[in-house]
Amino acid sequence: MKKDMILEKSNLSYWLRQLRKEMLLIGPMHGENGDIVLKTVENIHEIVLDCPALIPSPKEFLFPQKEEMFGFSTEGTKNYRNSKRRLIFGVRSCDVSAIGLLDRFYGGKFIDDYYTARRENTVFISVGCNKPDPTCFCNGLGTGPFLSSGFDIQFSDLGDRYLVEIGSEHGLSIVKKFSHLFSKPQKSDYDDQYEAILSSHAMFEKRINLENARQKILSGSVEDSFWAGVAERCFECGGCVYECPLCTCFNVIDRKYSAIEGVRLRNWDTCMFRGFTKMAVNVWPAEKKIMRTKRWYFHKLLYYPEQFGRFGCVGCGRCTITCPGRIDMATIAYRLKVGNNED
Amino acid sequence: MNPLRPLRALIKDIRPEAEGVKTYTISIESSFVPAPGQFNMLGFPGVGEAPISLSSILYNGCFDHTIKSVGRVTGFLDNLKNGDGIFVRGPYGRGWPVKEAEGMDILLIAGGVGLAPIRPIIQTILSRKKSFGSVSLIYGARDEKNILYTDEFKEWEDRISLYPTVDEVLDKKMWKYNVGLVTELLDKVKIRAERTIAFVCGPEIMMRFVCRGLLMNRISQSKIYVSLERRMKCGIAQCGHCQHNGLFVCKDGPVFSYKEVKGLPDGML
Repeated sequence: MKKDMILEKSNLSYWLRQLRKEMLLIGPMHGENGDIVLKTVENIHEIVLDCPALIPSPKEFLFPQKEEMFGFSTEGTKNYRNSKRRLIFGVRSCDVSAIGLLDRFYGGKFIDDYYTARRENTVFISVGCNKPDPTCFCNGLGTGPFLSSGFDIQFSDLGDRYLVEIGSEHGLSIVKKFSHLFSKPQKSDYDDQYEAILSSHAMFEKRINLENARQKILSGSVEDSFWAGVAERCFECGGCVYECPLCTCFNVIDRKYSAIEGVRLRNWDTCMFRGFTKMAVNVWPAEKKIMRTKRWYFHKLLYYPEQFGRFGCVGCGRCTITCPGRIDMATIAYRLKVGNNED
Repeated sequence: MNPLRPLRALIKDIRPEAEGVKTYTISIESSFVPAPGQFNMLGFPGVGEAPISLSSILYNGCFDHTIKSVGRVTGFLDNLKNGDGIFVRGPYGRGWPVKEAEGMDILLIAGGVGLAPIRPIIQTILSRKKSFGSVSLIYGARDEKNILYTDEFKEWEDRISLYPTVDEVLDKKMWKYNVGLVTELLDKVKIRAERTIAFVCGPEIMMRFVCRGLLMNRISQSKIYVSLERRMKCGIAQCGHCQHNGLFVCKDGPVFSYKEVKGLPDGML
C-alpha cells in the first residue's frame, strides 16, 4: 500500500501530542552530554528536528541490549510480555532498511517472540536525509537517503511542510484518525521532494561499492595477509557490532533470584570477542583474531547476500565513526578495491 | 509458541556408560518427533543450556541423551537423579539422511561419545533390517573403559559388522577387539564405494582424517556425512554462535555432507 499526504510543520507538534496519548513517543533528543540520541520524549518541542543524519540506531528498541526472556523456577517457566505501543519518530532510511531485513531474519522458520511482539507494537516515522553525513554511504546500496517502499511512514522535509508517505497499515493507523491535519499533495510537492533527493545524492562524500568488494573476495584474490592486517588493527572492542543496525548475535544467561527462581536473559554478543565460539574442553573453532575479524566481514559481504539477497550492511557509517582501528566497512571495502592495507 | 522457552521433562532412567558418561532416558509431555541425528537444547534453569544430540529414536514416549560431563551444563546434569526435572527444547537441526541411505551399504564411523548421535541410526537399521545394504560400524575410543553401549553390542552384531577399537588397552583379558586408530580399520572393511554412504561423528580432527581416508576409498564427498559440534545458545539460527561460514550448524546441520563443509576456514575438515 502507498498513500501520500502533506503535513504542515506547524501541525506536527499537535499531531505527535495527540498520538502520545495512545502510545509511547520516542524521538531524537539531546542526551545528558549533549549528543543526540533516541529516547522517550518528555517535551515534544525538544525533539531535535534538524538532527544530523547519523544518530544511534533504533535497533535497541526492537532487540534490546539486555532483555528478560522469561522467568523460571525449577518447576517451569513463565513468559514475560511486552505490549506497550510505541511511536519512534525521526529514524533514518538506513535504519528502516535494516529493520526490513531484521523482520525477515526474526520472522523466518522460527519466529522470535520478543522481536515480533515489539515490532508489531511499534510504528516508525523515518525522515529522509536532506543532508547526509560525511560517513554515510547508503547511496551505493539503495538503502537511502530516501526510500520508495519498506517504511511505515516516511517524511520528506520540504522546508515549511513534510511530504508524508504512508507505506504500511501500521503507518496508516496513526494518520487515519487525524486526517484533518493532512492535505493532498500537489505536483509541486513531489517536485520539491525530487529536488531534495537529487541534492542529497549530490552531497554524499563516499562512493562505496560493496558488490565490488564481494566479487573481489569471491574471486579468491584476497590473501590472508590482507585479513591479518585488518585483524592487527582490531581492538576487539565490539563497537562495530553494537552500533550496527544489523548485528543480531546474542548470548543467553540465567540470573537466579533464589535457589529455585530466576530469570533467563539474553544480551548482545559479539563475534569479535574471543570466547564467542569456545566450547567445553577447549574446543575453539574461531579462537584466532583473524578468523573472528574475517567472520564479521564475510557474514555481511558474502553470507547475507546468500541468505537474504541483500548485503548485511545498510551504509549507515556508524562503524566508521565507532571503530578506533579504522577497519570499518567503508574503509575495508575501499582497501579491498585498491588492493592494499596501508594508510 | 516461543521457541526459546524450554519445557520441563522428566528423567526416567540414568545409566552409567563410561567414565563421566551417562545415558539419560527422558520423557516429555508434548508431541515430540525427533529424527536420527537431531539434537535438543538441554539444560536447567539457573544453569544454562547446551546442545546435545539425541542418542536414541523415540521409544515408549521416551528418548535418550548420552552425555559426557565436560562443562558447566553437562557437569550439572551429571548430578541429576531419576525422577528429577530437566528442561528441553527441540528437536532441532537436520539429521542423518536416512532416506538417501535406503538400499545402500552404510559405513558408520564414530569416535568417543560421537557414537551417541550414531545410535539412533543403528536403532533405525535394526528396526528396518531389509531397507539397507550391508552395514558396518567402526568405533574408536581412548580405552575400553570409554567404550559406550557395550551391553548392546551383541544385539547390534546380529545385523551390523562391528569394528570397535581403542587407542590403548588397559586390561588385555577384557578386550577382544582392535587396537589402533579408526582410520587403520578402514582397510579391514570391505567397501563397495559406488554403493556406500558413510556417517561420521567424533572429534573434528578425527573426522578430518576419516573423511580423507574415505575419499581414498573412493567414496564421493557427497556420500560422506559428518555431524558437527559448535557452541550454541539458541538452536534456531539466531544467536550466531554456531555460524560456520555461511552455514548455521544448528539449522543447516548438525549433519552436513563432507562436500558442504570440507576446507571451511573455521573448521578442521
